[in-house]
Amino acid sequence: MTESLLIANQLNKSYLSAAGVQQDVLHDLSFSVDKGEFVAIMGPSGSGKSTLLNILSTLMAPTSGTVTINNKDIWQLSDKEVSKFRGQDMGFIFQNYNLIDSLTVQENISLPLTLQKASVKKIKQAVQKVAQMLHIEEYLNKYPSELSGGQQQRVGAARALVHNPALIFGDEPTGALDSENAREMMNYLTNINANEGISIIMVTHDAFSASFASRILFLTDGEITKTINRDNQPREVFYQQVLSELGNFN
Amino acid sequence: MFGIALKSLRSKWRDYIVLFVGLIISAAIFYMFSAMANNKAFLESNSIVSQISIIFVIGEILLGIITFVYLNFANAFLLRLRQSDYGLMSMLGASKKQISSLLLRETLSIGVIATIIGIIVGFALTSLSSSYLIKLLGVELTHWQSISIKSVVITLVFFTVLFLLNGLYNQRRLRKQDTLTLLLANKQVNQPKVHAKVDLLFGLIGLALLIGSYALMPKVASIGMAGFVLILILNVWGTYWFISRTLKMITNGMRQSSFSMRGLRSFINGQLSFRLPDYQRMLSSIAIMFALALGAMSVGQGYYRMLPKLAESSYSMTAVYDTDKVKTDNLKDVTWQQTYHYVKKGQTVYFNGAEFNQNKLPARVPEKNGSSMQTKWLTGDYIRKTPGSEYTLEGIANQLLNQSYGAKVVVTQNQSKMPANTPVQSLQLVKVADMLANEKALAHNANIEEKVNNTKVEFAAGSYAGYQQTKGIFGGIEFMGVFLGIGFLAMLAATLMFKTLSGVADDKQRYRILSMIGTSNKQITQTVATDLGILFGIPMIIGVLDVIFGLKMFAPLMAGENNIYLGFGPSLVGILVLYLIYYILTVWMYRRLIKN
Repeated sequence: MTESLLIANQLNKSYLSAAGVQQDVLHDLSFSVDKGEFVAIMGPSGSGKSTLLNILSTLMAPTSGTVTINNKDIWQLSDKEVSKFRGQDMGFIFQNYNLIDSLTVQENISLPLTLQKASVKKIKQAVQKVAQMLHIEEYLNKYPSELSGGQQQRVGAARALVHNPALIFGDEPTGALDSENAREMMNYLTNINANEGISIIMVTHDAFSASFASRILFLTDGEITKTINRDNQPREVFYQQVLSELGNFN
Repeated sequence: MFGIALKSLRSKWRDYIVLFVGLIISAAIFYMFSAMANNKAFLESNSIVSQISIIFVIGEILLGIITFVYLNFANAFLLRLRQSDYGLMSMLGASKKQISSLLLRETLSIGVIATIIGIIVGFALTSLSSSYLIKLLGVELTHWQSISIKSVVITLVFFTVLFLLNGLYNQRRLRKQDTLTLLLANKQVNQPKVHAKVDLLFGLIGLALLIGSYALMPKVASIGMAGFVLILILNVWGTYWFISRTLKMITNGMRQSSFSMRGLRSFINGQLSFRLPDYQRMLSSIAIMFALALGAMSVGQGYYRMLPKLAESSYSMTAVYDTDKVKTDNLKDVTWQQTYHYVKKGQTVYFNGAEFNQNKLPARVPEKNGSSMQTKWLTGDYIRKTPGSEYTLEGIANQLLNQSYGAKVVVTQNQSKMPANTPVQSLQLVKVADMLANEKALAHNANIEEKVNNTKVEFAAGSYAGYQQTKGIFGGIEFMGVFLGIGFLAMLAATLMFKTLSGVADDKQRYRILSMIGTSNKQITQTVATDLGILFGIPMIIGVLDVIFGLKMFAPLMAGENNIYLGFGPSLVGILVLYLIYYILTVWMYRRLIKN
């Protein structure tokens, strides 16, 4: 039996609206992700999928419930431990890239490693490696603002991967990409998932991207309403299944 | 509409606090200066020269200009703060007229409230700073008042008018912009352009200019006025190029180096390189202002401490007493003391030359090489035969006649040549080894002398009176100089604070990303402190270096190299404390702003 990497238990998240009305975004949500698994979370907008991802990745606190990663309750960690977790154990690919505009591509990618005070040699090697894999070597000395959306997304992915995290969170990682770049990004994620055993949890509204995952959770109004597994199906077949599931939703 | 203005104040109170603090500081400084400038009793009792009021007028004009510039900046900040809100209102259908009326009301209400608080802070600052300065300078100030109604009115009117002008100007600017520009305000990236070779060349030139000015400073005495102008040009140009070019060269170099690949060094370097184009003018002005304030204080204080020495070196005696009511036995370490006789007739004072033959008269004369003074002992015969040698006696004669100049001196061959039928009076000349050690006793004696002969200190002869005169003149000027220097620096530092805080929106996003990829709160605080520390540190370091080398230019004034740093230490401490307060305040506010 495979070991659980992440366990979300009875997560609730509610906001108080401006009018003073409580709005539930997540409702008693529980699931787990195994080590080495590639999970996609799908759902219509407003279903709470981004909120869920932010809670799982320590960026946002739940109203109640727990998130355990590697047997540690991440909402019980100290400020220092949270930073260490973010900096060493996880990588985050953002929909809007979140690159630092005042740093070059190389400096942006290096940040997780310089924060760990890794040796210069190790930093250079690691940056070179991810840059090669993501085809961004020629942009290393450019600023983010000089790059296209697709290029920036790849830089964001490089930064999320450079320190070999155990777990990668993706918030619409292909949201800003055209179909060609999206396919390349997903192939890349599938690769590192299969070859390096890095677990991936990804939020997407795009059936094509989701079909690369091994399991898909469908979220509606803050609850998991359906789970489908790819098992040993070819991706194209799984894609059709995802599409028909989405059809059922609508 | 006024209700809306107040409500929008409430919605962005954090940013407004930044604006408020800056405005309050500037109003407080303006009030402080005005309180001093309008304090006639204080000015008159502390400055012998009447030109002092001119210095004040110039000072007030300068302060007015700098305040005007400052308020312009503050109001631009205010407009920036509100721009996107105005854009939104405009999109929702508010007319330009309604919006610009709102802007004017906002500007005025902020201005008036801040000015009133500033004046109250000014009361406190005035009494605090004056007591600090009095202690620092050792000046005695009389008639000093912290609260002046006239100054309150002037400050209030001046600031209200400036805010009104600024509000009208902002209105004009607002009317010219279309809705979309307003909505998308503050969304531009100012990316530094890198031309490695050109940057390297210019960077080295900037460094060379600054170092060149430092190298020339000690030699200013030998190269004269043209040299001084050259130094000034090299230094100002060098400061600007060092900050705009040399630092750019350094940040470029850092990008490539292994040094920046540790912790958040690359981030801090990126921050600096992005800020430089925007900050270079301001940082250069602050560096120069820092040097001027610190230099003025150092020279002033150093000179002030030199005054006793200078007085002692230009007078051969400590005091002259025209009455035997003064007993000199209260003086310690008397090195020389003599009683002579004289006869007063109209504007002429007669001395008996034979007395000087018997007991020679000491006079200070320049040494052969001309640089310093030495004491020469003169006989009556020598004085009679050598024109110009009687000037020591002339000084004494002016005291006896109680006038600043114009006394005639006749030294007769002997007693028989003295005018007949006029009373012969006696006077005591005394010299002590250490004037400052005898200050109390000398003051006591001068008091008796004044009571008996109505002798005014500004007409009296001797080093003690000379010291009192220069102290009076110089203390007043020095006090004002220091006050102005600190005032300007305080305002410039506040501008830097402002500029940093107004750019916090861009930085906030950067720090948010840092936090998301694993930077702890503690590291963020450290990074903010370092980032801002570099910004504040650059002008400070250049300013301090300017003064360390620049003070060498004052060696002739300060009677030699040994004395040039007399006033440096205490001045540096005073200015650094002020500067540090700004820095800490900025870091604190900045940290709060990026957290939210």
